[in-house]
Amino acid sequence: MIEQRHLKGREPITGESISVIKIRDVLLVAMPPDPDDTTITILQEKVLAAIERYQVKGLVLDISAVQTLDSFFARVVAETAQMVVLMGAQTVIAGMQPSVAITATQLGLTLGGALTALNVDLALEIVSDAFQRRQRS
Amino acid sequence: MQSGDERQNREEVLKELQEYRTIFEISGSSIAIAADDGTINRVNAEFVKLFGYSKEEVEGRKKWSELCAAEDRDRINHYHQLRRSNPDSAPHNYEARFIHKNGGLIHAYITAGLIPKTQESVLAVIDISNLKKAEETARVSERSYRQIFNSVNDAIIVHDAAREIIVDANTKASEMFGYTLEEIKNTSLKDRVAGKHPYSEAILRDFINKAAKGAPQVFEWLYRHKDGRTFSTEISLKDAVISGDQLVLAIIRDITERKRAEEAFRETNAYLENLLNYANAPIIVWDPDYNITRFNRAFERLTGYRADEVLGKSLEILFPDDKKEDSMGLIRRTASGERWEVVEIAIAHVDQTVRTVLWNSATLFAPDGTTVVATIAQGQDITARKRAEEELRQSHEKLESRVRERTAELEKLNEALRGEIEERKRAEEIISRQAQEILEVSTPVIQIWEGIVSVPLIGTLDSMRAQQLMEQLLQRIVETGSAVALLDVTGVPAIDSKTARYLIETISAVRLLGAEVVLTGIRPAIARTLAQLGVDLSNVNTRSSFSAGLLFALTLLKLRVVSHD
Repeated sequence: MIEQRHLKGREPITGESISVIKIRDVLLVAMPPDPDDTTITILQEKVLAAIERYQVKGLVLDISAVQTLDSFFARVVAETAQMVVLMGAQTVIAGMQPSVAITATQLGLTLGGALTALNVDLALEIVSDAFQRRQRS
Repeated sequence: MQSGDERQNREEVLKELQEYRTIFEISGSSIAIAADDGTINRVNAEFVKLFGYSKEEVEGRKKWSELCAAEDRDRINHYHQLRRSNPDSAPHNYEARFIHKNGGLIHAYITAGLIPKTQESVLAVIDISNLKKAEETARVSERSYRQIFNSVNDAIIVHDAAREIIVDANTKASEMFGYTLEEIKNTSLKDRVAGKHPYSEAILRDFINKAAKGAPQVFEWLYRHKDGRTFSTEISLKDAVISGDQLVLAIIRDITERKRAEEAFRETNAYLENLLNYANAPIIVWDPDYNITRFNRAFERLTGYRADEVLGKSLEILFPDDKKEDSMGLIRRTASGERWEVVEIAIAHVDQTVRTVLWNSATLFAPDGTTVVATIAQGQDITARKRAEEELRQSHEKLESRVRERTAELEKLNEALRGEIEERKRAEEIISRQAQEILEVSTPVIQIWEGIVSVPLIGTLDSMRAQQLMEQLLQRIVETGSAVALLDVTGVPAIDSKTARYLIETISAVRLLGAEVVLTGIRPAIARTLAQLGVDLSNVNTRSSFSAGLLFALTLLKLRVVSHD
């Protein structure tokens, strides 16, 4: 039933260049290879608006295409994750490239409380696990 | 009787008169009888013939002096009067010039005398015009001879052989000796000899006597000038008979200049001769038939031939057999007037050795400027120089070849070095590849279960290995999609702060990917070090052993190890 409701309420969310896709109770956002600051800001707004509207369990941010990670992007992602938590959902960053991870580590960038997953598949699993854990607790 | 006598007397007188008249008329001489005042009373036929006037035109009409030429008129008048006033002082014979009726001049020889007891004079006129003309001709001829005589450039002296005196001499003679003609005349040809041996009077007399006997003599003689200097002459003596006198004609030519020129020539010649003979350079002269005409000492030394051995022989003998043709070819070209500046021609010595000689030549022409009379060539023996050059060239070559050898050696050495470098480079490559391999091998990332990779770290973890580890680990995690990575440090002897930082970095990076790290095998010593260094590993999953770590990893993946029992 829940899935059906989710399917009914499914609407493609389109922004300037990024689409925020709702799959059942998860929002999926695929980042473009080289996102600029404006895109990132619009993304944040869109994501927050979508969460408010759909009451989803989590947000999966697919950054497998991203080749470079700058401090602004890292900060916005960390903030967004925090905001999402405040709005009762969970954020999972999925598919970070090894080279991006190395750079980020060396630069000392962190993603705050955001969870990470190797890929979108695992990310979806994490989102549901975390929801269950939270409900249990 | 008396009258008879008288008549007879008169008849005789008449006869006598008749006779005289006849004589007067037929005389070969022109005769005129002039009166006291000079009027001609009577002339004979011869007179008419001589003067061209008829008897009628002259007799009683013309004066004696009128017929006379203007130049002589006064003299004739004077004689005429003198004959009357002082007959003894008047000349009996004289010459005078008269004028013919047609204006022609008549030279006449006059014989004049008074007819006794009268004042009339008889004038016998002999025409001497032809004689005069002959005299004049002779004089002109004499004068022209004299002129020739005087204008001759040689002194001509006419010497009387018998009296041994000079009877005549030309002006050149007086110039030559410095005496006037008068001073010379009547002296002897033998005077003024220089006196030095062999120019003595006795010898000169000998010459003169021989000439006088009909043997013409030509000889050189030294005379002394009036001013004391001596001068050379060439005398030719020849006998001559003039007007019955036995004479000797001496033609004397001043040859001082010639002598001087000859002397100069001889000197130059001697100088050239010596120069040629004693010059250090070989000099040779050949005629148009290529026969040797001169051969100097230096050439004798060069070839070993003596001059008298080669003079008149062909040039060919000088050249080595194998070069004869070439050399003769070069020489023939000089015949056309070509000059050698520097031509190298080999010359053969009699001992068969060959000398290299540099030649220059000059061609001597006949006065016509085209006929070659001789060619003179001067050489410079450069055999020694050639030899030195050759030696130099050889030593140079030797040096060159040595340099070449050395260069080759160096090249070889270089090649070897290059090979060595190449070898080393290859070795280095191998080493670096092996190092890479070792590095890779030293951090093997093994997937030990679906979702679990493991890295057993062995040895010291430096920055390079740490980097390698991080890259490899992250790569393998993404490839295998492993959510857990087991990092076993059992094989790491020690961990310092730097190593610890590398480990933490690696762990953070793995987490960013969304995987979890389990650090296992931390030995007590390492644990102590990490604690002492204040390294915070609190939010890192650590397990003491690899198996404990594996168990934890399986738990994270919600897997359990179950016994079959």
